Amino acid sequence: MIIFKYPKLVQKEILDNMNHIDILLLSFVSKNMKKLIKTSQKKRFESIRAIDYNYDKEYGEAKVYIPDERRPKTSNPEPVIDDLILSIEKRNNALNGYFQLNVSGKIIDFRLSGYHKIPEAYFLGCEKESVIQSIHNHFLDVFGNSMDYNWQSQFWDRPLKGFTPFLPKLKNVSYFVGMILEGHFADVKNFDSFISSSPVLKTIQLLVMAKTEPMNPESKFYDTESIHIHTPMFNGPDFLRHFRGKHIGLNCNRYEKSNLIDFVKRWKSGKSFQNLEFSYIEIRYDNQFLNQILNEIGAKFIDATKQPPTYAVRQRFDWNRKNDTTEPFMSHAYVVRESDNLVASAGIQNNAFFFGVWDKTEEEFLRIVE
Amino acid sequence: MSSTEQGTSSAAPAEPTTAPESAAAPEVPESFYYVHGKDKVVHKVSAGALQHSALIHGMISNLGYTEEQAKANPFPFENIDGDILQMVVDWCNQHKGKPTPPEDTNLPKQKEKLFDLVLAVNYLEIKELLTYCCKQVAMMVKGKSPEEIREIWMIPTDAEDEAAEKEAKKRAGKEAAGETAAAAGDAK
Repeated sequence: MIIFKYPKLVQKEILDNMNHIDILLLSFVSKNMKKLIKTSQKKRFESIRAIDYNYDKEYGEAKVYIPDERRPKTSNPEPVIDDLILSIEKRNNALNGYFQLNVSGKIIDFRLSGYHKIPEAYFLGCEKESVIQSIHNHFLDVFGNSMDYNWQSQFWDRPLKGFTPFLPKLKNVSYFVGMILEGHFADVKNFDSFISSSPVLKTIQLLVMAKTEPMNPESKFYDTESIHIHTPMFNGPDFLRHFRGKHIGLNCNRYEKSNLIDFVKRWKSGKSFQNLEFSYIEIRYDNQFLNQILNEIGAKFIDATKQPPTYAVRQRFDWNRKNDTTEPFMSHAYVVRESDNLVASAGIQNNAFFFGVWDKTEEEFLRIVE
Repeated sequence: MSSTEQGTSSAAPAEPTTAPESAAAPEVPESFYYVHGKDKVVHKVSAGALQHSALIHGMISNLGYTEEQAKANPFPFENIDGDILQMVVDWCNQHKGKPTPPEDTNLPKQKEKLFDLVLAVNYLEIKELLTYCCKQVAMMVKGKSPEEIREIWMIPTDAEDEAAEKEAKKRAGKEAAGETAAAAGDAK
């Protein structure tokens, strides 16, 4: 064939003019073609920041996106069709136009669908995980692992009876999971057992819709990098106490003042929350105690005449807005960790207690205030 | 503007016919050069049009040929088919002294022609035309299944690649054995 007779630069220029979907389809044509893609498209792959698997629990199907970072931000954070490169769906016998491809050693049915000719990979019931694993291994092989691979729940807060999140075992993947704590998960043993059988998760969004018992303090749940919990109907257990990750946010009805004071005290001692970067606790009712809480946690205060620094870090709760930051907050109050002298700003804003850890000692922190 | 006429392989090609360059004649007389491909048909092309080709531009920039000398010494491109060279010359003439548009819809639709054009354009180092051609080659497989891509680009299967590789190894082995035998013969 001609393309292999072309000089490397011409081959590269041709491939540079193809979109991600066509490159993906081309990678299935032959081993030599895959080799050519891997060598000539290194730069393209290195410029990809993430490959996202968005899993829709209702249909049990995943859509794979390569988000275009150059696109201007919009108010709607949902993925856009232009970024879709592959859909992984249940086999539908009513459709035609299937063709088979060998994907990392597994034969998988495919179709090209719609105006954009989006490739659709199909699985039969029990083969779902192995089909997804083969596709993922192909991605790792072709696109490499310079980008983040994310497995993300979509529309997770739509109730679905008896639903257990589907988390296929995939190499180099971060899992972002949304769950509703109700039904069989209202029994904390079931929830804990699910979490312990899952890989360590990057983010959990939890909507607590049933009264639950506290979880085992050693549960893997608390190792999750970031957790956001919304308990709109009940006074849930204190999820904050045993947290060992980086970001935690609670939106709750009520929260005990003593638990909040204890949280700060334990952070200051350096014995707990060593990984913590950011937390907030929004309390809906009986939140008047927040007005005095900064004194009660033993906060120090920056000179009132000086402008305190604004605290904001990249937010980790909403996986559709990975580039956004946490809600910025400014506070004259701060606390210092005894073990390493690091500072955390503490503040009250809109019935919420905010806590942001700086990578600065007290001396360094006060220097930026000057 | 180019003109063509069936030429010969001799150093002095037949007189090419010349059409008017453009309605508005340039103020300074333009120099012309002559090229021919595999078919020996000679094309008269202005130096301005040839500027698109980094290869030819490099060749002519220090020549200082007179019209007669240029005519007597056409540049031979024996590795380029006549019709392909004609396309290249036409493109250079059409885009002489003009900014190149973002797309070119006048490229050949026939895949064999396009493939040959890519090789010629790459050889002649015509950057913009190469970009258009590569885009066009890429567009040929847009939205196609891997099997369709294989057919359009005529890509061998893994089995064919393996067979070709085996054959090449076998041939190399034979050649090496032949050389060893020859060397042994020489030693005797």
